[in-house]
Amino acid sequence: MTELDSKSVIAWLRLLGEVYGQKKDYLTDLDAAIGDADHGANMARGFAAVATKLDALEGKDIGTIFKTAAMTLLSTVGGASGPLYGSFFLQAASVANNKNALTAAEVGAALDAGIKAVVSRGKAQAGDKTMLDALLPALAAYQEAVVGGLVPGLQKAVEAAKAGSAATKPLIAKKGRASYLGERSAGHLDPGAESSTFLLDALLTTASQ
Amino acid sequence: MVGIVLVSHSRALAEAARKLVLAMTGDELPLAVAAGTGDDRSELGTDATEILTAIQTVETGDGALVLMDMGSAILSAETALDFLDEDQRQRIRLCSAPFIEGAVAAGVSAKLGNPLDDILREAMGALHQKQDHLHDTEPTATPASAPTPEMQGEILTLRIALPNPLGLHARPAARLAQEAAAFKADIRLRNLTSGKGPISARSLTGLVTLEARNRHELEIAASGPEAQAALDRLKAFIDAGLGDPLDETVPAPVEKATGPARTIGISSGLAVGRLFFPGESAIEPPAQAIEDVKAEYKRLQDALTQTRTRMQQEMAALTRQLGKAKAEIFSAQMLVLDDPQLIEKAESRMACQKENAARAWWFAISEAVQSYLQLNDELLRQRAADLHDVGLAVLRSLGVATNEKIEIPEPGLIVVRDLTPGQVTQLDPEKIRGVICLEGGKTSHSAILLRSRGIPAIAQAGSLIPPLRPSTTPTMAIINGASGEIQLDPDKATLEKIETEQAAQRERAALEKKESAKPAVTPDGRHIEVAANVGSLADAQTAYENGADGIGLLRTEFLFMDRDSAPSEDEQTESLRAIVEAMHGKPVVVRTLDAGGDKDLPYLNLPQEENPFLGVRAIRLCLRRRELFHTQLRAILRAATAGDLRIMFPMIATMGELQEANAELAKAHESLLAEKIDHPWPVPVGMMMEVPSAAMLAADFAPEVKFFSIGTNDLTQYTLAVDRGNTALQDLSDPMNPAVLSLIERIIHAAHAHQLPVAICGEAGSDPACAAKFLALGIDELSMNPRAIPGMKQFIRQPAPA
Ligand SMILES: Nc1ncnc2c1ncn2[C@@H]1O[C@H](COP(=O)(O)OP(=O)(O)O)[C@@H](O)[C@H]1O
Ligand SMILES: [Mg+2]
Repeated sequence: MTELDSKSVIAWLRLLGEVYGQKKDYLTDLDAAIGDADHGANMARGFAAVATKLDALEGKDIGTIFKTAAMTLLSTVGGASGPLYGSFFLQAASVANNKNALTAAEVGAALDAGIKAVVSRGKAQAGDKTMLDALLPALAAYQEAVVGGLVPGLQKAVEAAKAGSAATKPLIAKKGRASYLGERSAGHLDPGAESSTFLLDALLTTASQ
Repeated sequence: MVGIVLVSHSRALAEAARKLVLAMTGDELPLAVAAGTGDDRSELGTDATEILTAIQTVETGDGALVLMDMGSAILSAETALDFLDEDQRQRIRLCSAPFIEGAVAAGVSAKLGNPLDDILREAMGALHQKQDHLHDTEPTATPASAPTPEMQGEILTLRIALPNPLGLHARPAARLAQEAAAFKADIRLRNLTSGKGPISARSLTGLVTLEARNRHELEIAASGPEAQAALDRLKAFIDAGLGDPLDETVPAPVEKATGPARTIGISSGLAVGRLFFPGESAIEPPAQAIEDVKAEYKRLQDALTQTRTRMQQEMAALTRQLGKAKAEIFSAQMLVLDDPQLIEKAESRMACQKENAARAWWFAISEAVQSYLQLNDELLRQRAADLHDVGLAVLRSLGVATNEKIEIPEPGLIVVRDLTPGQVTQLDPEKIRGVICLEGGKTSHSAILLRSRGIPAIAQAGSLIPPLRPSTTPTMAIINGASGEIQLDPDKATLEKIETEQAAQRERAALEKKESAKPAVTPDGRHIEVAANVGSLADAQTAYENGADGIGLLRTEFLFMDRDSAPSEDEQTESLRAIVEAMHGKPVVVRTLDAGGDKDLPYLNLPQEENPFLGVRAIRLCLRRRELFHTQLRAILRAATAGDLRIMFPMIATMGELQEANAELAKAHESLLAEKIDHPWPVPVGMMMEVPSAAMLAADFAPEVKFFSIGTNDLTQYTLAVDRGNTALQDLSDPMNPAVLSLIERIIHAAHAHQLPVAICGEAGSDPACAAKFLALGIDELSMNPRAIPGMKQFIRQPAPA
């Protein structure tokens, strides 16, 4: 696939509903170690709600799809990841407005806008042990590899996200609930970094079909 | 009443907190809860959309305070604010006070009817009681800056409410500082409403950081020999609005229609092109330490003096070019040079840190810029660029290179944090097709200058284009400076479409411009004069370049606006003469002062009127202020030696008025004659046709004058009894209304019977549809905004569509 059309975007969001359903306990366990044991439940609730909206979005432009996902996440996730992923999709929507397909470069622009929104909403930086530790390297990798096309770009992005997420383990959390634990937050993966990795991985799966 | 919103992860906690608050305030307090997640909100979490609804329920114009517990509560609350319109967002405070104590304190204060920021302060101090009781607070850090010295001697004080609708922003603050500096007194101000201050009244930065808004209560304390006189003067001055019109309103930002990114248009026009990121060259004055502190003080003082002189010269030049109001931006800036707070700061850096003058000054400026940027008030934040600008000018006087001019290698759009007014004046419009500001706003001085230079610009694009790695940033954009819309990296098709459109437009404009010096002759051979409406020397220059056949309306108000006293005869003569000369012999119709109505001149102390448009304005005012009128008429006659000048009286309603005005003109002529001052006589006199009574009697007026000029805006407003500023009546305010057209026809008919030419100088004249109608009615001249002239001439030359 060279472009991401609105059908694939819907397929991606649908897949995310399944993925977070399956990973619910895994993410919650991670959050139990350094947070309040709800990240899995939050993501599962949010994306299940998104999934119920998808049929009605058939045939709509990608901006509208992203925006609907964003508003749904804002009102159903509950945790910090709600406004963060919500803002992610909201800003991605502004790049995808009135478009029925995104070129590889536009996917990059959407990711870029979305990730910048996470930065400006959460005010976290690389190394703070948050979802950004997966998202920022993934974006950089994508932009570097995207000349080769959408799928190769996403492959590199997912690799980088996985590596970034794995690297959160020794970090001390500086943002979010885990930061209350201070040094005790070291030694565990960040749940948000893992959920972000799943998000990109599902996008790769969809784009590869 | 100010509303309160409680945001918590836990519905139970929020409900309990609500009970605690209402127990103290009673049920009338507008308080809403947004808490919990999941279908029945029993799970822990927050919901941005619920917060949004809660805010909208309790905020009814007086503002709302939002208290949050933690984590996602904060992020969700911030997200909710993104969905409010700018106006309402200004009235919301997210407050870091402790959830329970803060809620109770805020609730009680809100119930008392206190304003928003008082309530915020109450909430923020809510822990004091508990801390006092338990003695467990950490010692508060001592303030960084030394306290200002105590006032000496007897201290007189006074309280006064600020009447200015836009608050104490840079211009009125500058005037206040100037007034205060004239007295031998130590004067301090405190904003009792916001709790800020006291600061020295001579400190512009200090005054601005008071964040005094409309109706805030100020306390002025003065000591010293002229303390009483100073207080009296300041009271009168503040009551009169500090030289600002008291009916000024905040211009509403034009917001992008959809999408969360709220870029706003600040200077209209369409621009497309490659994006350039000139970046901010960080200014780093040399670090060289100093030994002789006194000598360094002097270097700074000298640099300040030098900068002041240079700015005065620039201002004089700009006044001539852009008019007094725009040039006054620089006079507000100049006060920075006298700001005791800045200078003290710099001197203390020199004395204590042994920093050289440039470095110490730049430190003081940067710190002040930072503190401006952190203010809550958008208008004040925008003044940071002014401060920066003056700071740079002083640095240059100290010999530090500050390469500020923005240049790009090929035509395109620039992306900048913000521009200083100085930078705007240096932009090359050939290269810089448009400006995208990450910050900034519609009312900033830079925006005003961008508009007058005709460079399209949008602001507040920060969330769209953070200056990240070049590989991820967009490379092309289309901006619409009217709507504020921006399209990043538009696809090829859009780009090509816009580019062809623009190329066609440019080609058309170039062609029109090439032909613009030629006369406009209709296909049936009638010669139509296409003249310019002009309100400054710069306008006149543009008019000439755009092929104006003359100036059909010179609005002399620009000579009188934004100043403390009426201009002298010499000053008026010189300004008028410059404009007449700029037209190289083409006719210039000078309209005598049209003040009053919506154009107040504070120094005339005009009485407030119930219906200013039906009150003492224009010729009615001049006939009641004879000296003012006399001076202007003398200046006009003297300027007439420079070319083909004609005089026009505005708002003539009766024959008596015209006769009186003519008599005044004759007196001016006689007095000049008596003093042997050179001027031509007689000078052609015409009148505005904008009052229906005059239009009805056009046949009587025609033998008395040399030309008529129809002001369609006022003629429409007076004929249809519709206030032209009332947006609800826009559709009634139509110059194509048959009643208005019939009056116009009547005027033309009467004029042509006496071989008088008739012009249209209202806005409608530049609208092709209206112009076609006027041409059909037999109009001889159209006078309009200079930039519209080439297009209108072309329009006239084309055959009218069947
Ligand atoms: N300020 C922040 N910036 C970026 N990511 C954050 C921030 N705060 C939290 N996160 C991410 O959100 C994840 C937690 O999400 P979740 O459990 O749903 O929210 P909560 O922390 O409110 O319970 C963290 O693992 C972290 O990756
Ligand atoms: Mg959690």
